[in-house]
Amino acid sequence: MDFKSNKLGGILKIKIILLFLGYGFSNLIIGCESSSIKDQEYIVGTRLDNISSQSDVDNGDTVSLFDKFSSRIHIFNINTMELSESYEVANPKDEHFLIASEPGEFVIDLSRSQITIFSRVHGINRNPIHFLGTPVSSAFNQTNRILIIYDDLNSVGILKLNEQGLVLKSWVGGPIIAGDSSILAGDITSSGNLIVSRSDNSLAIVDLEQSLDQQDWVYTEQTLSRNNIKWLAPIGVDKVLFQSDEALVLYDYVAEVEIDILDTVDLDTKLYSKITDAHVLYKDLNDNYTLAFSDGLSIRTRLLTNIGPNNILQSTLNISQDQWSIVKSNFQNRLNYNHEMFFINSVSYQRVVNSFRFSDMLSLSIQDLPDKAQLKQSGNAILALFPSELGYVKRIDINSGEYTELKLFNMRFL
Amino acid sequence: MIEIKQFLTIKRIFIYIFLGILFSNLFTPYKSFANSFVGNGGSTADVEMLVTKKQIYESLKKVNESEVFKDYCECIPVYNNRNICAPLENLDSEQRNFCTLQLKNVSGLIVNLLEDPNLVFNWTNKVINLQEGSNNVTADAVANPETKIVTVNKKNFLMMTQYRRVFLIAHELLHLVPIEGEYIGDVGDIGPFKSQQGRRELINSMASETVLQVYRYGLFQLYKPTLLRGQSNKHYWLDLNFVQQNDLISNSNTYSSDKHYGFEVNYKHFIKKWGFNFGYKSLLSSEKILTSIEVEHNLSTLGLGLSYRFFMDDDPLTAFGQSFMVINANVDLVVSEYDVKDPFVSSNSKDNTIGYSVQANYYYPLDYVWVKAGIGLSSFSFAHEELNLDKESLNIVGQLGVSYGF
Repeated sequence: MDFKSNKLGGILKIKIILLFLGYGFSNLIIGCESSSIKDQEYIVGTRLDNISSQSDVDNGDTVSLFDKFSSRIHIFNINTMELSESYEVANPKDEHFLIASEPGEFVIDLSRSQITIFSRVHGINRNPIHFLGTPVSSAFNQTNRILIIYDDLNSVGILKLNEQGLVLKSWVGGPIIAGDSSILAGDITSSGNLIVSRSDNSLAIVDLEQSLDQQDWVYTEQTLSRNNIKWLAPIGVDKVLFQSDEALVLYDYVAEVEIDILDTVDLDTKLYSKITDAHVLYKDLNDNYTLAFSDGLSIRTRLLTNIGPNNILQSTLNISQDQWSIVKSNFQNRLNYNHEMFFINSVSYQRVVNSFRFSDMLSLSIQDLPDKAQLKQSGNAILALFPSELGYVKRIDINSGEYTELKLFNMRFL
Repeated sequence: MIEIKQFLTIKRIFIYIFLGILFSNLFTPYKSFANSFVGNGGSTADVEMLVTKKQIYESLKKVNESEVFKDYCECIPVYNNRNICAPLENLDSEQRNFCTLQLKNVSGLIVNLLEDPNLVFNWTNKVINLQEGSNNVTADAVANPETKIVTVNKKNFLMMTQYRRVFLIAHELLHLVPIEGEYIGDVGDIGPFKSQQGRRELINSMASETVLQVYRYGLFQLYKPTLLRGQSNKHYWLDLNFVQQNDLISNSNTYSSDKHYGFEVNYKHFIKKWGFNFGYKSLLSSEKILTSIEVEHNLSTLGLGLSYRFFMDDDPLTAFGQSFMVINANVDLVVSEYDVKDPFVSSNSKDNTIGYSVQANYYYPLDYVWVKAGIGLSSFSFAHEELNLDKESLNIVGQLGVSYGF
């Protein structure tokens, strides 16, 4: 288990050891990534994962993953279940995070102090920009192919790429855009600008193209009346949904006006999600879940009465396709273990995916997901990567439960 | 590359041939050859005959050289009431003295006769019929004093105990040396042996005494291991070997294994020095790679080839003399099979190929069976696309095993 050195991780580790000894469940091992709601806060973009898909933006048909057994990045076509590309990484011992281009032309591999671009056309480009820290999150605009990489030292790397993954421009900026205030959270808007909240309760809208050209922050700023904006997601072309200490706010940064506000003082934030449409899950004092999302005009909420007491590990909302799905697990509940986890791979056992017709919250299907496997949702499918040294992935259709498999893809590379 | 169906068909043919040869020889242990010359160990029963002649030679040589006039032609307690002493039991003192005297007289002549290259022993598988007066009698052997040829029924000879063989051959040799100035047959009287069968009684008495002399000098015991020991004159050989094979060409592929262990069953058929061999070998390499992948590589080989045999020494009465070397040169049909698995998935892949091998094996006789050790080289190549493995293999092959000749 790979716990980061945060406090929650430490407590979690101790609890798991105690439970492990107490119950004698020698075969029940929680496959963990660092998992805390705080890991989704105070980042730019989304938290990095070692499986990347384009489905986060448009239901693409390729998924890239780093396979630690073969020390390679594999790119799968999940429709045909074929291994379309495979690249060997230079530093296999480190953790690797991936960002993939939409048509699968290139994959960006982020590891500790290392950035490598594997391009089908241009080959391998190592370290086009240099970091001292470890990348923790990223934001990628597929249209403009501008990539933001945010590391644990709060450095912001900006890359402009062409369609084949060639680096056209790059620059690394610090967390202070102007004055003395630091970046708290942010993301890339659909128009290709970076919008960030800052420690002085302001927003900065960074023109990334200009910043790359001038190798300096080129921005406009707006002062808000909200404290400590820790999470932020673009909505449409001119709005952001952000979470401050006291409220979830839909904000029009063009008109510079708060369109809608959800008071969250009495709510416990359980999950932030930017897949595919941004939304937040809260738990109230009565342990009821509330889903908050925006239709672009207002903040809407739904009290969720039919998702049970399970921990929700991942939530995917696609308003245009009238779909909502959650991956949940009752594994910890069975152990009477109350620490909650918030990522699909935080727990390796007893996971299920539950899909809904979002308009009326009709539960359409509940599918068991394989134990021990690392999961990645891509559109209506979940790709399960098993800890098989020879290589084994399974594509599971969320709605039908039908699956296809690809086996032994590592065998040639070992 | 050979298709698997073809391979299985070839495998079946080999098995049928092998079983055919095996059964045909199991049920016909002795071939019906015509008279054949008794050689120096190269044929069936040669060793038994050589041992018998050696026992007679050494015992009578001691009798001849002895200065002390011992009480010959008298049974000793260990043989009392046994057939071997039957000719001696009813001798009176005069006959005993005559028997003793004649044995003393002819012992040197028999020793010389056994050294005479003109003395010939022939084998026959036919029944030996003799005319004694008006009677037809059958015999296990017959001697011709004029030609100095002794003809022996091989089958009966092999079925005899050691002392019966000594008695038989001593009896025939006594027909080939003059007693009282003439070569005597079995009919008629001689000296104190007054009956019509007197001469036979005398010769049988002297042959019995020769058996007792062989016993006295410990020559039965001395040659017992020689007779128990496996004999190289067999035509058919079945080997069971433990085999270790080390690849001399290293390969960086993860799945490539350099050491294989296993067993081999090999059948050889010799016609004099040359023969052919046919064998099946199954070798396995098993290892764990990374943390959970188990890799098993099985090499199954069907080999067919020529064998050449030569001896290290020409004395068939010693173990070293019986031991021999065999050089094999084979064409091998090799099946390379990989089983690769981890807790989630598994893979099996096969490739068939033709290889070549040469081997030198040394066979050393024990009681009934042989131990053998060998070393050789084998060369073949195989490919497993799934494993990204394309391998040229040159192996040094070590063998240790047992063999049975029949």
